[in-house]
Amino acid sequence: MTRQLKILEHTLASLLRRKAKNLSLLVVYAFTIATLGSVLFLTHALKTEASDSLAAAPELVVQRLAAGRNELIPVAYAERIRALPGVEKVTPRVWGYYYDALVKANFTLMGTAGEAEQIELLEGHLPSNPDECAVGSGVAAIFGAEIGDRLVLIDSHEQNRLYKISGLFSTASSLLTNDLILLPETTLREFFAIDEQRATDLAVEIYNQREVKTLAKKIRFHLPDTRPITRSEILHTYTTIFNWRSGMMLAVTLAALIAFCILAWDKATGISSEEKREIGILKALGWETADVLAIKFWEGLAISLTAFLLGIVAAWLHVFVLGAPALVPILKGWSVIFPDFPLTARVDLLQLLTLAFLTIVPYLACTLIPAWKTAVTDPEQVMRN
Amino acid sequence: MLIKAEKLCKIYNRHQPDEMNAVNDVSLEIERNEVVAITGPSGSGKTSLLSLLGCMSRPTSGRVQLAGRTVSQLPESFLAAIRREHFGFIFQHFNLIREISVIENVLLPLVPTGIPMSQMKLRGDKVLAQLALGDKAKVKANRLSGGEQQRVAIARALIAEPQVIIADEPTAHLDSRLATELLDILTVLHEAGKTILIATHDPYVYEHPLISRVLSMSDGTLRGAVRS
Amino acid sequence: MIRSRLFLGLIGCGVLLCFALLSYGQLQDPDLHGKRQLVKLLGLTDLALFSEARYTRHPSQADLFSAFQDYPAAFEHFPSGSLIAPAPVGLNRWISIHDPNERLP
Repeated sequence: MTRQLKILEHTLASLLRRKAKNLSLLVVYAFTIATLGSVLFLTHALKTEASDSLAAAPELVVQRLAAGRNELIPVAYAERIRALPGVEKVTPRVWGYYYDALVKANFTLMGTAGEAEQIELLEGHLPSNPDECAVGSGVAAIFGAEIGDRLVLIDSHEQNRLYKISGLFSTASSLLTNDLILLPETTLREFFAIDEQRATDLAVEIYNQREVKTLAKKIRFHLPDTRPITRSEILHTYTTIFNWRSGMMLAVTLAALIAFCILAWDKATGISSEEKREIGILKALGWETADVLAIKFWEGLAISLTAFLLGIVAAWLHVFVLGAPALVPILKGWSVIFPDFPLTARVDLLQLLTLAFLTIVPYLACTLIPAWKTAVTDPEQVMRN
Repeated sequence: MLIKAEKLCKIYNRHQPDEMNAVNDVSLEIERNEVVAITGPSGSGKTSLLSLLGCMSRPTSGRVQLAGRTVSQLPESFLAAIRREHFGFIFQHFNLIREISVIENVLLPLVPTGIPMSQMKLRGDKVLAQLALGDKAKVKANRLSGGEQQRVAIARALIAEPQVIIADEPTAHLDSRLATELLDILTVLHEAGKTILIATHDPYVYEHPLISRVLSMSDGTLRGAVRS
Repeated sequence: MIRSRLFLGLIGCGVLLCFALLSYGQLQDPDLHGKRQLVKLLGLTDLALFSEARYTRHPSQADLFSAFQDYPAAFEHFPSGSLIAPAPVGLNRWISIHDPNERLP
């Protein structure tokens, strides 16, 4: 114990000799970890957010496909699905997209049948009159609107329509409701000019969870032009959305990682003649190969562990306190309105350990291996060279 | 008998075009508390012989006995312990680690041992005081003069209280005043019971009354005693 | 020994801080009830992250071709499309019927 502590003391003394070099290495290393960590934290938090809240999504959504595209579904299909044993309830839903040329943003317009229940995350109330609407915070922000203000939308007959904002979704829900404009269903049908016989899709509730797949098959069998989407498929979509393959962000950080690897490799493997001489001196003074390697181990660990801890803490603060300002522009893409969402700081421990393993171990290896090659030779030979 | 060498051979770069026979069939015996000088032109194999005797390298053939125990074939970790416990080395170029302090340099041999730091410090202070370096303990090694560096190197060789001091061309970089100082220190060490081995081609050293035996080397072989 | 003790102390603090941050996240109340109620009542199916296109606003509801309007290997149009991996066709995305005469359970 004292022995290792003394070796560590010597290591730190020798690290401090090259302050500028080691400090700059530490900064670059920590920065790489912070970037990688931020991506991992953000995507994992989004994934958790999706799977946590979308667990309450409809068990089955039935769309109609025509010529490979989504089409409006006949409301009559709802009756046929309801007749299948095991189906609890079928709700035709009306929703669609609306592009506002003035603010150059897309919104999602959704019809409500006038649910009586009070929504916790809604300030005000759901639209109860034909000319009322409830909007997400992104919509309110882009129009600078508040409860009681009027929203002007242009319907499919190029007519200006005025809707009074009766409810505003809180920012806590903006990951789900940011671009949402809720209108009474009849109003929305008029707005989009969708007749009573058609709906956007059907939400199906089922008594027994285990029958979802069977029922989906039955629906496909009886209504071959439909496409049922189960809740597990929705959740699966979101677990795959932000996975490691998800391109750009990781590709960008990968470039940083590779650049760092080159730097680390260069720094660690290129054992200088000065370092070789030192190893020779230590061996001549009665240090064993294992002791020399212990120095190199502590040296590698001191740098990589410090950088890892610094990087992780920085990533955490960046994502969960500052709201990932460095990553949001990449995430945002061409979205005009982007949710200002508070994230729950959920971190995947396994992911973190993988990151630790992938950054600390290679660094240790490339400090240890070249030193080991020098340390196993006779001290006399090391000093002669 | 403290050190006994039998038919020592050391060949570098064996079976390669630049093969070199550095030490060739050398046998010698060194008694306790003896002061032996090995002379010879540079490249005659003095340093190679010293490093074989000091367990810094292993002979290609032959063997080295230390206090009756064959040490030349021991595994590396044992050799390291033997170097630490029995030998103190004073190198030609001092071989200090430049950017760390004098005391840190001196204590280096004791770092990979179980000796607590407080005791190490006491021993270090004592050795530095003996060599009149007490006030330089915190100074970085590269800030010292040549003579001071030499004394730090001696202090480092003495810190583990070895029986044998091995010095390789100790006066090569010193003027005559510092060489006298060094020989005075070695005389004190000899009086304290240390065995001393010196490789040198400086007549000032090997003609000094301290030296009890002078061996001459050329082309890797021992040409016998010049003076004893 | 000051340096090594200081170093180990700092590393210890760093590890503790990391654990504190991680456990803070685990203990944080995500207000799932409110969100789930919202999702259930409104029948939401997707996150409102990217609103530039149908397939990025509602990735789980988009038809399989809209992400690749012309050709599956064509370049993505929207930047956020690069974050959204193509739907895993053939996994459980489609519920296919092999034989129309097959008796269903």
